[in-house]
Amino acid sequence: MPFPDHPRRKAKVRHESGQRGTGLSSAGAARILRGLAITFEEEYDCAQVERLMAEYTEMVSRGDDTASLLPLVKYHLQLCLDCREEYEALLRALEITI
Amino acid sequence: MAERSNQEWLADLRSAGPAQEAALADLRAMILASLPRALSVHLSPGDPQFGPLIEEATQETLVRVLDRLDEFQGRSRFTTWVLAIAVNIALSELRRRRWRDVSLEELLDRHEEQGDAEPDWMAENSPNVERLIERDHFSAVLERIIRKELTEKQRTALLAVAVRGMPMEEVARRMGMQRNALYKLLHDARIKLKHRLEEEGIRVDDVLTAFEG
Repeated sequence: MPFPDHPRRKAKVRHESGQRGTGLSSAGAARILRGLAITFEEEYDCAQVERLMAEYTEMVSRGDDTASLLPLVKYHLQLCLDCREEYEALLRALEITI
Repeated sequence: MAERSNQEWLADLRSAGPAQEAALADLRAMILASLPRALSVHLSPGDPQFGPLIEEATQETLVRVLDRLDEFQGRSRFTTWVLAIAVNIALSELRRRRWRDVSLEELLDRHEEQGDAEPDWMAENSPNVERLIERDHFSAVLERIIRKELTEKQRTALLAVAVRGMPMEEVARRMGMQRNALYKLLHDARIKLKHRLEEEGIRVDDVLTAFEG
């Protein structure tokens, strides 16, 4: 039986100001919170990671400890799906060129 | 393919004439051999787009490599640096094709309209009613902060990228900015959200256990 004052139900209506709500589900909130958990004042942006992508991927393919050597790249790849896709694709390519 | 050191690659590609032609031919063969595997989870070799995409990405990569030789810092093998450029070009094109018919407005409206048909705790096999109600409470708090305290640009970018899963590059294109600038915009938004949650006595790590427990 639904609770009449369920907080999600309030969140889904349009707001008093007429501004559109965000339609944020708990699954969406979880995705944002996972990002916040690895959010730091200092982060590498996509351009910085792009400059290190080849070096980082070679290190991973050799089994080097990237978490210690290039931790900011590792965090960025957790946050940025575009860069992560490119890293994973490059890693697959290296499997046949190394 | 002839074995070359990084310095030999650079020297050959900077030269005019046969040495450069041979180096470009070797690079082209290397990219054509490696890119299909790199893209294997994104595009099947049987797809009619596959061959043309590989060819176009290879051509564009060679042009970009010649244009950016001075940016190679020697921190990796030269061929890996080239492959990174090829992968970037190919995946950018794939993203553009896959999302070309989706506007930001449609993406955000569609999901808002769909919303959740019922609260999680009403679903069958709900694990823990109290935890789910707690989860919904944190979701509502997060939504309030996103709605009231982020800028319109920050809110749109965060929802499109982090919640709806549109690639950053595609969101950036629709917002008229570079992917790197969008990353910085999102970073500012995440920092603001994190600080505001802390001001309300909510630690992200603690809240996550309600979502993932």
